[in-house]
Amino acid sequence: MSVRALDDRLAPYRVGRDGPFGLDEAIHLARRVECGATPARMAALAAAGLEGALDEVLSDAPASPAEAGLLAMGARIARRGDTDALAAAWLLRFLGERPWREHLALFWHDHFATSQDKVADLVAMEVQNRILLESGAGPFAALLERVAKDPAMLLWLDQAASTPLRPNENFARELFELFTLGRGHYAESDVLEAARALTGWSLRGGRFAWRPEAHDAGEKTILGERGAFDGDAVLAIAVAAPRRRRFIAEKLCRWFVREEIDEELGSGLAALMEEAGDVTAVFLRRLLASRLFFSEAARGALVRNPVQLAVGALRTLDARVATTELARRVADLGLALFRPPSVEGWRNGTAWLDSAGLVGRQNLGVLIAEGEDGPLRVRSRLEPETEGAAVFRAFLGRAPDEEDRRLLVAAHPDPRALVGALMQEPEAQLH
Amino acid sequence: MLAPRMTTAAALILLVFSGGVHAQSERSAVSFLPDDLDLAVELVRPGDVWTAFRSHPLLAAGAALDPRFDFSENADLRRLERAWDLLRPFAKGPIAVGFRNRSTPRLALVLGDPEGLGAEAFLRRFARAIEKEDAPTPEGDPEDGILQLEGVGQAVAREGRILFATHPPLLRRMLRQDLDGSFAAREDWVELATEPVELRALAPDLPPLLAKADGGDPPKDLFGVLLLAPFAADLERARSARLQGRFRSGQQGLRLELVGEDPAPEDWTHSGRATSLLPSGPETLGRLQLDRDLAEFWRRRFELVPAAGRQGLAEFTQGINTFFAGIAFDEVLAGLRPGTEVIIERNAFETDVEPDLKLPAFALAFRHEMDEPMKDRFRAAFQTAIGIINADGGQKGRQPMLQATARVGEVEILAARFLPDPREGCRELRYNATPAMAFAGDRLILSSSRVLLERILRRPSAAGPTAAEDAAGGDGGYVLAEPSLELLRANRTPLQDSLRLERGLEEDEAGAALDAALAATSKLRGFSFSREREGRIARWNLSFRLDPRR
Repeated sequence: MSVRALDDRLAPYRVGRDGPFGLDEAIHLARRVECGATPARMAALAAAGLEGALDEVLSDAPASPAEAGLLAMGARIARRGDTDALAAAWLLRFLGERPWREHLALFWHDHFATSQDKVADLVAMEVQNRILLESGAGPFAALLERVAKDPAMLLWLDQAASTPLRPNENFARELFELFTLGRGHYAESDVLEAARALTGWSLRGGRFAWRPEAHDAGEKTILGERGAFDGDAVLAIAVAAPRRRRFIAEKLCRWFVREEIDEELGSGLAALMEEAGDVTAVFLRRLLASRLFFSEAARGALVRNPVQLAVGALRTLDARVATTELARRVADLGLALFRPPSVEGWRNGTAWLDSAGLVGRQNLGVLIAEGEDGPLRVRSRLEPETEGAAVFRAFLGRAPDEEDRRLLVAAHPDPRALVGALMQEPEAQLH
Repeated sequence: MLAPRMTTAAALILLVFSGGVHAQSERSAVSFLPDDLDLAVELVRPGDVWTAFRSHPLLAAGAALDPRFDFSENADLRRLERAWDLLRPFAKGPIAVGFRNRSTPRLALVLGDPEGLGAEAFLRRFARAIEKEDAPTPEGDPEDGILQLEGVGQAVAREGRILFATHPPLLRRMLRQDLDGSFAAREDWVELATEPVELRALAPDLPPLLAKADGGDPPKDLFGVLLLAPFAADLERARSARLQGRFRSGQQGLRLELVGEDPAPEDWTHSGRATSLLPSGPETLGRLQLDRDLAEFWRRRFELVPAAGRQGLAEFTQGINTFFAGIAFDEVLAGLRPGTEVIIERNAFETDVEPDLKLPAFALAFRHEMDEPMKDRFRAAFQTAIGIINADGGQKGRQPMLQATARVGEVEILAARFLPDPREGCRELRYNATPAMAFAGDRLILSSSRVLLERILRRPSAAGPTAAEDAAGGDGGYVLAEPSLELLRANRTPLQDSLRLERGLEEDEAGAALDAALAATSKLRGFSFSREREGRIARWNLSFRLDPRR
C-alpha cells in the first residue's frame, strides 16, 4: 500500500497546486533542518525551488577539510578529557557547513542518550558522536549496530559487564523500549532472552570484543522467533519487528515536523520509512517534501530546544562565537551535550518552557545582543546592507508588522541587538 | 640711564614671577604638594613610563590573545589612552600626583606646561579626559588666576606648571608651601628622591590609604593562604610604603618597601636564607622558592585559613591523614625543615609518541630530618596515592599506573608510569606525568616526572645559567622566556583549539593571534619576583628583563 493511500498528508507537496514555494517556505525548511540560516541563504533557497532547496539543505557533500579539522579537534579534546570543550567543539561544527548532519546527530544523541557522567570515557563519547554524525543519515540497521557495539554504549548500559551467569538486562531492555519499538511492544521475557543472547559482547583494549566463551549459546525466544541467537541476531530481530519503522519514523516526525501524530499518520510514516528503504536521509527528504511539512499546522509548531534556539539565532547572524561559553549557557538551559539527564534523553516540547527556562532563554538573547563585549563574544558576519526586516523574518519566520517596526528601529543597525531582542519574544521559542 | 636699569629689573622680576624653564628645573613637582597627603607619586619621565607600559611585551601578548588587554577593544584602556593623549602637552617633565583618602578623597596634580597652554586649557582637557563632557566653562578670579570648573576642580598656572586640585583648600595649600611645608621636604621623600628612577611614590601613612581599597577576596583555600598570606600580612602590618619603578630599556622593575611598626611575627614565614635544594639546568623554565615553616603553618592552619575555607580544610586534613594511615600528618611535617622549592622544567617524553598537550614537568623539594621509619611511612604514602589515582582513574577510563624503582648513585627513586592506551586513536594520549619521589641526603624531592628527578639528582648543587638566582633567599621565583616560548610553540595546536572555542576565532585568526603573542613575548627574556623581610621592612621586587635588540 502506498503512503498516499495511507495518509494524503504525506503525499509530495506540489508547488503551485498545494501552495507556493517562496521565501516563507524556504525559511520554514531552513529553520527546521538547519536550525536557522542567514537571510541571504533563505533567499537563495527560495530561488532554488523546492527540489533545489532540499538538495541544498540535505547536501550529501563529504566533509570539507575545515569540518575534518573540527572533527580532529574534537578527538584531541576528548583525549584531554574536557567534556565542556568537547561540547563547545560540537557547537562549533553546528555553526559550520553541514548543520543538518549535526542536527540529525543531535536527534540521535537524544535517541541513544548516553552520558559521560556514567561512561566516564570521553574518548568513547567522542567516538559515539562521530558514529552519530557519520551514520545518522544512513540505514537505521547500520547505525544501530555501530551504536550498540560502540564502547560508550557498552559501558553506559552495562553490556560489557554482562555474563551468562548474570545476564545484564539494561541494554536489551532499552534496545526494545527506547531504541527500536517503544513501550508495550515487547514482553519482559523478550528482554530476558535478548539479554542472554547479547552475552559475549564485551570490551577489550577499549574496543568492542566478541568473547564466545562468555556467550550463552542456548536457544532463546525473542519477539516470537526461536533460535540460538547472538547479539547480532537480536539487533536484526529488533530492526525487523513491524513496530520498529513506525517508532523511528514517528520520532523523526516529532523532531522535524510536528508533535501530534494520529493513528493514520503513524501508519503513513511507517510506510514512508519502508519506501525509503529505512535510510534516514531518504525518509527525511520525503518527509520534508510532504504536504504535512508545509501545512499551516506544522509551521511554528515545535518548541526549540536550547541548542536549536542558540544555533538558530547564531546561524541567522552568520556568527562566530565563544562556543565554550555557549555550551555552558546551553547546559544551564537544560541541554548539556554529552550529558543527557537519563537513558530516555531530554524531555522535549513544552517541557523546555518552564519559567526558569524562559528567563534563561531571554538572558541568552541579552548575551547575544551584547556582541563582542559580552561573554559570548558574538561577531556577526552578515553583509552590512542586510536589512533588519530580513533578519527578523529569517529568525522568527514571519515578516515584521507595524508593531514590530519600533523594535527594528531600536536595534538598528546591529543585527545582534535585533536577534537578542527577538529572543525575548514568546514566538522566538518556536520554529 | 635709569630707564634701561628699570627695564632690566622689570624683566628679571617678570621672569622670576612668571616661572619658566629655570624655575621649573629648580623646583621639583612634588615640592608643590603639601606634606599631609596619604600618597605622593612622581613620574620623573612620564613619557618613558607610558611607553614602557604601552609597549610592554606582556601587554602586547595579552592583547593578541585576549581583547581585554587590547587598547582597541577594551573601553577602559581606550579611556586611559585618550586621557593620556589629552593631557600629553602638560605631561612633559615630571608629574606629581597627590592623594588624600579621608571622608572625601582629594586629588592633586602638578604637571609641566612648557607650551604655556594655561589653566583653562588644562581644565577643559582634564574634564574631557575624565569624560565630564557637559562641564561648563571654567570660571575664575582674574587676580590670582585660579580657574574653577564645576564638578572637576580648580587649576592655576604657576612657575611653568599647572597646579590642580579637586578641592579649593587643597589648591590653596599647594600655593602657600612656604607656610605649610612641602611633601618634598619630608625626610623619607628626600631619601627616595636621590634614587635615579623613573617612578617613585611614598605613602607615609598607609592604613587610611588602604582603608577603602578593594583588595579582592583573600584566598580561602589552604594553598592560596600558604602562597599569599605572607604578602597580605605585610600589607596589614605596614605603616608606610615606598615604591620605585625603573623603566629603562632592557631592565624594568618595581620595588615596593613596606615598613611596619612592629617586627613581623615570623612563626611560620621563615626568614632564613636557604641554599638551593633544586639546582637549575639547561631545561629549567622557572623556579619558585617559598620561605615557609610548613610544620608551623600546618599546626596553625585553622587559624590562618578564613572561615569560608575551613570546611574544605577539614576534608583535606582527613584525606591527607588517610595517606599516612597510622600517623598524623603533623608528625610527618615535623620532620621537615623550613623552606620549600619548586622547579619547572621542559618535560621529557619517554616514548616515540608525544602527548597532544605537552605540559612542563615540575619538582617540589624540602629539607628534612626524618628517620628511616618515617621515610618508609612517606614511601608508603606515595604508593597509597598511586593506588588511589588508579582506583579513581579506572572509573574515569584512564589507564592505570605501574610502580617501579630506579637508582641514581645511592639514591633510590620510587616512580610510577601510566600504561599505554591501547584504544584506536589514543596513541597520542600519553600522559605527561610519571610521578616520582626520592630521599636524597637531607632533601625530600617529589616530582611529576621521573626523568626530571633523575636530572636533578645528577646535577651539581650550583650549576646552570641561573645559579645566582637559585641561591637567593626569602620568597622568590623567576620564569625564563625562551624555554617557555618553546613550550608554547610545542603546544600550538591545543592553544589554537582553545582560542577558537574560548574566543570564537577562525582557524587563521587563532593562528595569527598566537603568532603575534609569540612575537611579542620573544622580546622578553624573563621575569622574576622576590619578597624579603628584614626587621620591620618587607621588600617586594618585580623585575622584567627585556631583549634590547628586539
